[in-house]
Amino acid sequence: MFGSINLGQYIPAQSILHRLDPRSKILAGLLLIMVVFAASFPWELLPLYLVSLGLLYISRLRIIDFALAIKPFLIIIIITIIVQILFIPGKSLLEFYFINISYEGLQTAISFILRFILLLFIVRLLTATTTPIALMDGLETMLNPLKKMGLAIHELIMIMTISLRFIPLFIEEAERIRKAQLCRGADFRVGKLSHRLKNLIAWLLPLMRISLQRAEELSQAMEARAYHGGEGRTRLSTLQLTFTDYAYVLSMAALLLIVLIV
Amino acid sequence: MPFSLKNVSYTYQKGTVFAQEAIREINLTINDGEILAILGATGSGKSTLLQLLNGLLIASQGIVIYNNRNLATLSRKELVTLRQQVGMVFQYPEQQIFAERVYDEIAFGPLNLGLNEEEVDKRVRESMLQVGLDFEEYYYRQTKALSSGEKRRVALAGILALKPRYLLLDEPTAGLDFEGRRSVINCLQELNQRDNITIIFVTHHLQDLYHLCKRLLILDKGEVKLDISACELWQNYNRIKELEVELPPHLEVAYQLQQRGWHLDTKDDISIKAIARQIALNYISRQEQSCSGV
Repeated sequence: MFGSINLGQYIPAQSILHRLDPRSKILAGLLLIMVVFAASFPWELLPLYLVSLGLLYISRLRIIDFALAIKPFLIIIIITIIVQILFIPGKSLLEFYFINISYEGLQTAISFILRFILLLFIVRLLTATTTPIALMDGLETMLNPLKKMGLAIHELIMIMTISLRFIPLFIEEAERIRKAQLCRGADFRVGKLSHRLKNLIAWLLPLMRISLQRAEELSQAMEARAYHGGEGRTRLSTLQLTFTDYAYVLSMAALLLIVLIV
Repeated sequence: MPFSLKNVSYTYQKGTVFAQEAIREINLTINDGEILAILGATGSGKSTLLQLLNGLLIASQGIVIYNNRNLATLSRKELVTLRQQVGMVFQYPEQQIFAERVYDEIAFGPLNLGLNEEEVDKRVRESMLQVGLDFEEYYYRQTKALSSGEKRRVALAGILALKPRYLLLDEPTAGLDFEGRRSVINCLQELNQRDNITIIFVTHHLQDLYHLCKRLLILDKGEVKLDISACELWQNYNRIKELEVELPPHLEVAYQLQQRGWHLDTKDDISIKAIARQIALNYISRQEQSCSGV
């Protein structure tokens, strides 16, 4: 049931990309996203696929992991393509009855798919090669300057880290309660709407209660270990930029520059 | 034999890097009226095995047969019937309680079966009796105000109201106090003896439940390592220790005595009472022997 939630899942492997500093990966990812938007169709966009394949090779991950990330978006992609093909006016390419497929429409549709897949790939590459904790660590360091403006960056990041950390547990719990109620004849997918809603309550209510309980326990456990927010808190491992980090970010910056100039 | 597993394997998240084989090539038959204890360390596949028995999980390999039907081929409707006949009580079942009143909580299952009000009422009363909750005293009580033992019995009644012929339980006594454990154990024993319900439970703490079971199944890393009746416990003592299963203290004492030449004829009754009786009988006959020797 929850099989499709793997967009943000970390995939462990031994690779240069996995070892990079999260900050450089975030920055490089942002640069790459800009490249995707700045690249023109098709001669700048297509070579980007070679770059992606290169990154995929370096990351030591399998292409299937990325294909799975596209799956939940398939419907959105298909609808957008159909709309673009049908409704963008221009030089006629194919015409029957009232349907008019234009050259421009087809072009926009293809460039849309190409860009969308690239964007998904970039995001997936970031989340697949970086643990959520490292990602949040990186973000916190990058957002550090905002602390001077009085923003509670540390607390914000802590909240996000905890929620990320608890998603798998939450899914597990949801699955268990669902199964338990399934054993009592409560089906959530078939039957009258009123019946299904009632069954939904049997699922969500216990889930809410368990989650609140868990939150309570966690906050007590954190306070028991003297957690009091970010002030004066030191780190076990500090992030360190290496030569590869600079090289990675600079090459992405160079790519953006090339795309912008050409 | 109502349950028969043939070469059953189950892998979680099959086909991904996170694939994890929980059950490997299990062959097993379970008979009517049995009380079967499934033992094993955490992560040995005990809970997975239970879920395979009532169709919550479908075997990745091999077949699970119930009443001559392969579970993998059942339709959605047949699965509902299966789950009614093979009731499953998850670990900490009190967590699944959602209704405000005890009555509504127990009536949830029968109502889902589409029974009329009269029948539902009858079943709620029956199942409350089965778990030892007085109907008049409890039916209008708030579920959140119950003790943990009472909550667990309410959850158990919620399953019993479906009138299952088989009961699968995951750690039925975990996290309960003495009184709660005793009431759950008594309840299970009565269900088996009076209503002839087959009971299959998973535990890694045999202490509470040893005197219930007539048959023990020990799992290790997803494989059945030992499948014995309670009277074969002694012959397999070393193997059980190897598999790191903890036996109740009185059985340890009995084993040590047997090692020292005491003959304890325990048959398949391994309750404290039976063991104590055997020890007493042995002691007397030893006394007599030494007296006649003099």
